[in-house]
Amino acid sequence: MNHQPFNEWIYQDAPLTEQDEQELKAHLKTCPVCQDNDKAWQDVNGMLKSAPMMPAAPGFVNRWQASLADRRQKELRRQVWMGFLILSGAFLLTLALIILFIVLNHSPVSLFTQVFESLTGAWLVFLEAKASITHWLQTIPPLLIGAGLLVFASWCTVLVLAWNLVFRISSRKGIPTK
Amino acid sequence: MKIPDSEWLPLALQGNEEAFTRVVEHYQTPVYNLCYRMLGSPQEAEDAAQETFWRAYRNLNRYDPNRSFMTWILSIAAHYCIDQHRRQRINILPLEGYVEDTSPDPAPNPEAYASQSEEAAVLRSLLDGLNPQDRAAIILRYWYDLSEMEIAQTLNLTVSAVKSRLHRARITLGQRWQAAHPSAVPERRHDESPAF
Repeated sequence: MNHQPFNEWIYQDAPLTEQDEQELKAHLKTCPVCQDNDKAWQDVNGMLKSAPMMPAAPGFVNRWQASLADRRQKELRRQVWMGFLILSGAFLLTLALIILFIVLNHSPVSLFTQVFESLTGAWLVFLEAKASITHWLQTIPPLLIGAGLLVFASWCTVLVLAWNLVFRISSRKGIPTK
Repeated sequence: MKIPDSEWLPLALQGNEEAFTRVVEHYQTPVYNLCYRMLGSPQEAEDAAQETFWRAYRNLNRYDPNRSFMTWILSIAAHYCIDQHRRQRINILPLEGYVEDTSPDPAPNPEAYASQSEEAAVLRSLLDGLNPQDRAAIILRYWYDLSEMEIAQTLNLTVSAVKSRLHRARITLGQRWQAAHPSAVPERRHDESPAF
């Protein structure tokens, strides 16, 4: 038996014309397959239409407010890390471009010679500076040198700790945008 | 209750957090219901609904005030749930198992509760047989009474795609219902062809 278009009409959302409806009714009387399909769909349709809206568990808005604070904090932390990564990436990219520029504009031999000369020159400057400083230090009382070193070490420690603290706070709270 | 679309929404769009909380309060049930019908589990639905509101909050500047806020937020929820389905490949509850899955309950009206609970389980089981986009289309059609045009906008589909998805989903739901109720279907004659 041909079930079309009756089977299409059974599942159709839009209302049928009066003539189509009559034809469908007549077909359903003679066709048990379409009759079953129609019955099944009527049952499902009724169930779908009568199904209620499922409400959220009580306290949804409170949980939203709590999660908003948490999510915002995570978002800001993510932004800080993103900023850090972007800056690091930009630095590395710049460095890579500089290196590429140097490599492309100098032959490997001249580059090696220049690097070697620069290193030798730097080493000579270091030796000269070392000799001058040693000579200069010999004129200063030893106690003053110790005190100076202590002040310098303390200052470095304070700077490192402050940087660390600022980074931790920024990564936890983020940087306020407003 | 004041209508958030006219009262709170403009304030929320200006960044007023209190106003957005009111918006959450107003839309929590439709959003949660969509997530629940899509995912089938209260915990996943809760997480999905919270995530939906967070995404809406973050993207409020992209909301077009000429469009209905309800369809906009349902669109966010539906897409999130479809993604969840794809990512997690949620375990499909076998239709035959739905009766065993109903949780026992409690007073005051255990019979009514059991009946509701069984119906909810049957419904969930039927919906589990649909692919995520067909499922979303059916949910938006039957729970939210959205037109095919609105469903198309919500799911980023064409109207004809929505029509064919709805039609295919109805056929699948009918078939699954028949499979779960074999006693209601008399034996097909040997010379009888299937209707599909």
